[in-house]
Amino acid sequence: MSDGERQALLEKLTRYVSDEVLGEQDATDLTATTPLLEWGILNSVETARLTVFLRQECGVRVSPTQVTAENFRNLESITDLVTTLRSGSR
Amino acid sequence: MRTRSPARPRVDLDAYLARIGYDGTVDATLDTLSALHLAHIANIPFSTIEALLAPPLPLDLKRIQQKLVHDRQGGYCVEQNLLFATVLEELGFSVTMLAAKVRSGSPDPRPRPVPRPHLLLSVRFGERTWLADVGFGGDGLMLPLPFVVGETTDQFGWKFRLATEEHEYVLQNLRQDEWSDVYSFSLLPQAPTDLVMMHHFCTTHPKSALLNIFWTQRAERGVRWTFWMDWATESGDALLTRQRANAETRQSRVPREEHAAVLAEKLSLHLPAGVMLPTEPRLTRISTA
Repeated sequence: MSDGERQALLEKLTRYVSDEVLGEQDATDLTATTPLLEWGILNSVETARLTVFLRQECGVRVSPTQVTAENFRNLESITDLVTTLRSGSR
Repeated sequence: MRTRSPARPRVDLDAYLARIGYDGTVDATLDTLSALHLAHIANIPFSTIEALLAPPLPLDLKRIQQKLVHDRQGGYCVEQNLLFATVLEELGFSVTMLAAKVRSGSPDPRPRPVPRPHLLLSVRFGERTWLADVGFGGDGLMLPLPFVVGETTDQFGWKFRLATEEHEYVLQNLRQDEWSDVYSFSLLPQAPTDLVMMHHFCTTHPKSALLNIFWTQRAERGVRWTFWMDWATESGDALLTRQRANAETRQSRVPREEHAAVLAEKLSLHLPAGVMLPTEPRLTRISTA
């Protein structure tokens, strides 16, 4: 995956979390390294919804065993997970 | 003609006690409450996978009894604790329904983006009160918890305590040697109409756990059995875990054709004959505009 593709993916995920998870709440301080789990932005329901989004919009299937604090720590780590899953399925 | 008050719905006690495998005394004592609590969570699983098979129905005690007791399936918090409260009242216990907000895990008390309503019970014996909760699943209570702030209670190795905040009490459990919030609640009694609102959110809101996380859990004498769907497999595998306090979690794969047998044997949940769980989640539409 090129840097440009990775950046586009990161932006897509950031937009999703901003619009669909935070919604009405202030998202101005959301960055690629915002601790999503620590801050309670991603709870179990939002994580499950995000995996559906990853499946529908990014074409990757995330197993429950991959739903870990490490993989879902922030938008960077989620981008890494998608990148890894995509390369594995090629 | 004798009629019953609509405020005390009819519950089939014999069928309920048979479903939870209980044949002990039913005096309204703390010992009975503890024994019923343990038997309930060991035999009626917390479960959301039924939502994969049929859309959830309106809140109705007759329907809940049919599903949890007669059809030997499971249910979520409102169904489980409403059934339990009704049984306890029928037996003469003094029960109050309470509303909680699920926090599950994060130590950060900032408001969650998604409301996560939960129903639990308090049961009074004279001057003392116990919390009862047979509908949380996850890492919730195994036994009733004395309503005493700051006192640690050990339930089969799982440790719990109550903390206080400005307006609420917080149930906490010990995870990796750190106290972690499970849910917060106030003592405002919940009426049946409040439950209707909770149930409406849980069964219709796109961000409800009931419509997004599909799993079943049963806890027997400290051991938690959990069955959940693995949507990453195209063949529709599930995962089964066996978890004990202070011990390594054991996990195994369950092929789709074995779901029904494993659910019946390990989770005490009986799928309707011939019915198979889907290989794809019932997706809630996500806007990507």
